[in-house]
Amino acid sequence: MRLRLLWWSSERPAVLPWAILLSVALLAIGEGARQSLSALMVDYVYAPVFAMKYRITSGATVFEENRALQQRVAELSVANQRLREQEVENGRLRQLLQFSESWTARAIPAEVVGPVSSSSGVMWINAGRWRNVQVGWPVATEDGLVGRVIDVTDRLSRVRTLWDRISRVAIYNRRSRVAGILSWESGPDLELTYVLPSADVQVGDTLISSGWGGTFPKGLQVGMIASIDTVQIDVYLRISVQPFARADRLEQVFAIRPDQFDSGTVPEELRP
Amino acid sequence: MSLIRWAILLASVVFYSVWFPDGPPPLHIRLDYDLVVIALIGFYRGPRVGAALGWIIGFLAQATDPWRLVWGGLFGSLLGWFVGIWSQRLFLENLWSRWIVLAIAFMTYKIFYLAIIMAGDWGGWLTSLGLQALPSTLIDATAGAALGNALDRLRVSRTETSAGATPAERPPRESR
Repeated sequence: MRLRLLWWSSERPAVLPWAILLSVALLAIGEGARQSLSALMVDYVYAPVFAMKYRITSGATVFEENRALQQRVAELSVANQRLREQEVENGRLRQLLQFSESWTARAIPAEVVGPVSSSSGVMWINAGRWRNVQVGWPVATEDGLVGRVIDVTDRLSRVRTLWDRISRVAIYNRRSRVAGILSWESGPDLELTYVLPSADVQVGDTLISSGWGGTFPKGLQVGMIASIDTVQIDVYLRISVQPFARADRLEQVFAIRPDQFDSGTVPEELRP
Repeated sequence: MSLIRWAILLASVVFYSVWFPDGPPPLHIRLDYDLVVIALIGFYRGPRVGAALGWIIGFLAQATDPWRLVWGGLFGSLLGWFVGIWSQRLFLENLWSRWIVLAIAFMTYKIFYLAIIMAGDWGGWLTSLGLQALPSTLIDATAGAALGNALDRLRVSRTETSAGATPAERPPRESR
């Protein structure tokens, strides 16, 4: 009886060994094949349910959202006009100073369909290969940086957020230009590391992405210094950072395509 | 159970996984619906079906993550198999015995699963066990035992109804 339960019998097959074998085989096939399998399941099993969930939840609040968005569009239009003026001026100054690098960005709006998981810090958004999203693109909300696309299926993308132990973001302090690395350990806040005790940092300082390493474009705002641990237990300060985007309130995001262009030249549309 | 019922069961697990991939927010103390379903399948269909369906449900519940889907399938099949074996060998009609078996099975599942997911972060593993796995195990085991007993009662009442309770067999009422 025991053997029958553990292995094959002619009348009724034992399933457990086969289930274990299948799992071991899945482990052995490697990360790439597992990702393909996961993408297949997500595209054809999960995506329809994601879509239905989105339609139901967004349908309930569509009128309020529409009104809020209209107001937001009006505000942003005004802000946009002002920023375009400043960008033209910035372009002129760059030309004068002969800066060699800059970037523009094109944002693809998306909805968060699989929220951030507490165990992996990864979420799903409903924009994928069919909307030209690519691996490596930064993802942000209007408040600030959220993470980076790590996997793309036809209809969805997987995003490694800031709330993942593997995530690292090189940042600048907007006020003092002090650099550091942002990471996450636990809870809603991030941790700023590699900042010396003598560095000029204050509670309330805004942190922006530095663009180092090319993972994230320069200038995306990430968070604000919430507290600085003055009790030194290490060579570096322990700084807690409150991110502008909140993990538990992520709904609408943007996948950002960084378009590199040579700057000494100002883009056509920005030329006066 | 017919094929359609199995399909509805699997669809509901996928639906639940999509709707609450990390449990109903914002509670960390949550009902792991997929685990309860796997355990109940083990209870009523034995270790073979428990292992097979447990693998599929575990796999589907974790399919959004290429790393976790392997462990979801593996531990799902083990859970279904163990509960199936215990249900055959132990007296499990009693609510408390059923609750204890489920609690042990769920806690074992979570201990191994979290150890794999945390991958060497033993501090995080212990914290997750204390703050997340232990409380949700109590909820899962309670829900599983209660659901199991409700299913038992349903089956018993159906059996009684089908065994000679048809209108034709009932004695005629006395006229006043």
